Amino acid sequence: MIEVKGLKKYFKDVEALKGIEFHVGKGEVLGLLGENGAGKTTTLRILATMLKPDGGTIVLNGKNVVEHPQEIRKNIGILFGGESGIYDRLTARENIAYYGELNDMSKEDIKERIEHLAKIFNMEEYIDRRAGKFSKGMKQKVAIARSIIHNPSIMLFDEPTSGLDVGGARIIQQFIQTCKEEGKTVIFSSHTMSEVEKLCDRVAIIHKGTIVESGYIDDLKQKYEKDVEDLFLELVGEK
Amino acid sequence: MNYKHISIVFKKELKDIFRDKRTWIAGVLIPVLVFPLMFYLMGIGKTKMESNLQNDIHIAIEAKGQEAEIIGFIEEMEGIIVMKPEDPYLALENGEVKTVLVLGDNFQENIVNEKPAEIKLMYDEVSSESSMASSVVENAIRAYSEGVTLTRLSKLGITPEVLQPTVISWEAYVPEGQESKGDGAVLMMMTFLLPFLLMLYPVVGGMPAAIDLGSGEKERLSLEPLLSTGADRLSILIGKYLTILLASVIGVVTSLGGLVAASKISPEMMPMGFKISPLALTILISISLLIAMMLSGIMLSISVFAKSYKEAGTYLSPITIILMIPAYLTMFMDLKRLSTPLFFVPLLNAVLLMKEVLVDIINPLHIAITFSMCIALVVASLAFTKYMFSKESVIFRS
Ligand SMILES: Nc1ncnc2c1ncn2[C@@H]1O[C@H](COP(=O)(O)OP(=O)(O)OP(=O)(O)O)[C@@H](O)[C@H]1O
Ligand SMILES: [Mg+2]
Repeated sequence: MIEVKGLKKYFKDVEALKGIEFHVGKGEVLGLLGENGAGKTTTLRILATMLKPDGGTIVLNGKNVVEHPQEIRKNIGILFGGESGIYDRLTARENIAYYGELNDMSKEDIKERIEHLAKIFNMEEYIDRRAGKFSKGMKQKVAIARSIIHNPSIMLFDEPTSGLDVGGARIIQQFIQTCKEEGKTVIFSSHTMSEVEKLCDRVAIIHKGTIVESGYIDDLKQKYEKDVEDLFLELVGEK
Repeated sequence: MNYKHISIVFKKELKDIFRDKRTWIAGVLIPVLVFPLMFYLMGIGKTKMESNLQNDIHIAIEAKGQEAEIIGFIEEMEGIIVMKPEDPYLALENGEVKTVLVLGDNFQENIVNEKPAEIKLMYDEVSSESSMASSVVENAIRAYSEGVTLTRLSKLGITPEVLQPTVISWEAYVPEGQESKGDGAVLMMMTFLLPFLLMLYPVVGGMPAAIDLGSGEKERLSLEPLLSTGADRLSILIGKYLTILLASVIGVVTSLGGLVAASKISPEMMPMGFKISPLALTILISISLLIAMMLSGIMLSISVFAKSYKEAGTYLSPITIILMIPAYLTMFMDLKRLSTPLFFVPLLNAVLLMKEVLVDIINPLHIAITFSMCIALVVASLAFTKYMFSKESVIFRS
């Protein structure tokens, strides 16, 4: 459960977020849509406690983000960009286990969980090889496994498919679908409308730091009598 | 702060950097090899030059058709071979002769008439062998002159002692109950080299780790996921800091090992015949550790600030030069007369104190000031690092 109210963020004099509001329920996927510089990454970084908000309240699973950052972090997983942040000199297993340990999992739990994840992502063959020589797709799977090693109830994705080929994007999309089926609360930001339509229940369109429209995709389509892409362009286009 | 998280980060970073070839090259291989190699090469150079000089020196004499006693004298000198090239200057240029001896006009006549007889040594200014050969020849000429002088004196009925009113000899004063600090040149070398090493090698050893652990995380985009794990920022920071500190210390230890190895391999270049008291050793080690602690923090801060490996490298490399300055600055300072205010200057004080204790000057005031300053700087550097790591505009600098 994510509840965001009046979220503000300044970078020096620039007001990057001007009172963002949205909520995402359990088992729900919210698509965060916006042009470059709209404020998607900033929003997600604040949710992940990496940046401090300058105003507003954010409650994740009933806990205030600013007051309990560490507990919040144990309940979230992030995947910013597709395959980012794998340590080349560690094996796939070591990469994944590192995050398990930092999230206070026991050695046995980590071992068990990695076996499980290696099986579902087909990584068993290379789980003990160093990541340096992995293909993009292999690295991506390691990054995904790492983000959910601690089985977080909230997943945050920031343009997870950008720069990936069709196969890579497919892996991520399937993963988001699985998260949803497992009842996780998911936010993912994207530029790609088709992807948003396929995966999201609801969308929030963010423009210059404010949410200009949000709702169920079908409702919005009916309201504007347009497909998602056109209504997006209408909402964020310079009027 | 959470000790478990610190240890997790520390172990992971250690594993990571020690699987990196760069760590081994910069932190172990270079420090271990650089001194033995340097001394070995210096040794070869020296021996080669000496052996070249022990070989006979080929020279030419341009007498301009004159007959002179000195020609016969030099021809008979051992180690000097007088060649008779058609063009002595061409021979000098080609290195066939190392020097050309040019007799002035009326040379023999002037000798006989007891007037100054001119003689010129032509040498090749780009050849170090030529200038050394010239001084050998000069000595030969002096020997000849001395002979002439003696003859003239005895002709006048004067004994040679009359012309030597003083006899000078040198001896280092060693106070009673103390031992000699050893060869003066070795002492000079050690008081320069050791502080230099103890200042510089924390950086040489720690820098690759610092770059990788700070800007490396940014460049590979692993910083954000790392910061969103259950570990708090301070624990992550301390884990990283300790890794860099360890790499720095390893750099120092390996370079000292290299120095010892060098003295074993080329004892004639680097005799270790000098002693350090246990107190001096303790002070040296503590100062070096404090410097490593201070520099590790600074390097990590700068590295976290940088956006990429490249940027971090650009910012960090000047540190080595800054650290060399105090070592060179203090090279010719008189250790017996250091003014106390100098010990308030960061880094310079560390070098000066190390030099003092190396020559067994134990000045409690200097020690107290230097340690207080160093500890204050370590605290400042840690506070700065913590500040940098908590600042959004540093972590998410774009
Ligand atoms: N660390 C920072 N320092 C200063 N300004 C920043 C910083 N991060 C973001 N901004 C500014 O905040 C605004 C929102 O940026 P943000 O990265 O959140 O946009 P975005 O929607 O993720 O864009 P994109 O699609 O390009 O990723 C932009 O104007 C950006 O320049
Ligand atoms: Mg973004």
